[in-house]
Amino acid sequence: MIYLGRFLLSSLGVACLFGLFMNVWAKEPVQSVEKVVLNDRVTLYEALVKQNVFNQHRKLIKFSHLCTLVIENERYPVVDIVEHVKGAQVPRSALQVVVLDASLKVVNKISYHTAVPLYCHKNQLLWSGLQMIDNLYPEGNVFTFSDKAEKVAVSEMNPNNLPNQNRPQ
Amino acid sequence: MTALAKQEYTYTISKGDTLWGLANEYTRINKGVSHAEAQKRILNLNPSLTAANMKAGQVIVLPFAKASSMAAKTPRTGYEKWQDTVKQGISDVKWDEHDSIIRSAVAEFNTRLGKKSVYVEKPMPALNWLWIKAIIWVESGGPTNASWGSRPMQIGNPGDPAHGVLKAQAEGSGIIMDKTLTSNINAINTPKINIQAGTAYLLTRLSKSMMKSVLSQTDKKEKSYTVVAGDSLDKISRKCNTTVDVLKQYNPKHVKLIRPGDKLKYYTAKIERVIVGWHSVSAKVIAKQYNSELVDKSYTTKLTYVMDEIFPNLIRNSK
Repeated sequence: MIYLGRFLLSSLGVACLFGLFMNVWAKEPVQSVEKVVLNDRVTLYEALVKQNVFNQHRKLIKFSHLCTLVIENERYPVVDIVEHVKGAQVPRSALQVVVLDASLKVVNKISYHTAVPLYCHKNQLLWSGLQMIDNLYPEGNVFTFSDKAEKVAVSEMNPNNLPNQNRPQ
Repeated sequence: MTALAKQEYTYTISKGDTLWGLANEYTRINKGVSHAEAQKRILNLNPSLTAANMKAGQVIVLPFAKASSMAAKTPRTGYEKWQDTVKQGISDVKWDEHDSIIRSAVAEFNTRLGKKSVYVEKPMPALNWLWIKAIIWVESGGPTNASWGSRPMQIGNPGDPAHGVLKAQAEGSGIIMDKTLTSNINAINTPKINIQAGTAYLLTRLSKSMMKSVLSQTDKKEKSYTVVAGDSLDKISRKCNTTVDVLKQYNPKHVKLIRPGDKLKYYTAKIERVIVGWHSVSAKVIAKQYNSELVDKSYTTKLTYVMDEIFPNLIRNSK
């Protein structure tokens, strides 16, 4: 009886370990795939090419995955794009941040001139300097996204109080 | 070669340079200084230097400017090449070719935007036309550049976002442009339209605007609405083609509370973009707002150079 009890307990232990292993084994690839899709510059670039985000007359000089917004538990990668307009003796540039949804569809584009996009914190994109949207007041260094990243509220925060990047996205 | 203090200049030794040769050059510039004295002065400025340990590439200090050899050996920086180009305008009157267009374009903007209107709450401080001339000089490359006779302000170059903004009347440019420019905006390759468009884009970027309640200019009749159950000021504004601000302004007693049966006075209005202020004009502000100096850090320096160093020294027969 004792042996049977020990056998059942050890079987249960093995089963639990196996279950835990299966759980990890089953979930890990799914997480990895998501990370690759939402962070990978090549994947993001190809998605933006398909959606005609780039201007064929400009020279792309910067393309980076800046960070990922998290809005109502959904992830939205943010891409920073700088393109040069050729022709003038001094370069004129077109700068924009593009927000995509988890299926890599473009959901928002914001041109910027006067500030530099820094990083994301939850559903906020934080800037160095003050920036307006569509040259319209208010200006601020905190852009708070809602409604599947389609809506943006602009506010200003003392740069000393900007939140930490606990884990760069 | 860099000037350090009075009569001291850094110099990078080239292949073939000797202490004897440098001293020789010094005696030619400073008549009366003996060759031995010249050598002594060079060695005094460079305590570790001897005639034997001079090596090509070594940086030393000289008591004279060895300009002739340096000019040939030091590559010109991009900024110096740009300076060489704009300096041509000092004596070449062709660089003034667009002056009359610039003056008349800026005068039109100054007159129209320099006074209050429905969409210009804060009048624009007069713009000095020389800023536009300076932008053209900084960006165009001058009369020998192909775009000088078509797009002197470079607006409308392929891929230029500024032209797109003006065509869409975005960012407040719809208020800045007059009807004639708006209808001719596609003729961007003519100097007149190009300069007007460039100026309009600059002023768009200098303007500060916000969405505000604007009374209709076509329907100025006073109207009345009787409140029904379930109404709010927001609902009423949508029903009556007016704004919450107008309802509050003309019915101060009902700002906090409305009851069924209340009669509210209103005018047709809507929320539109209004210019409420202007950035003060300086080379730094133009660089930041107009050219996104985030990428070209030298734009401020170039504008300042043209305004302060070139324009005051123009050689013109008429002067």
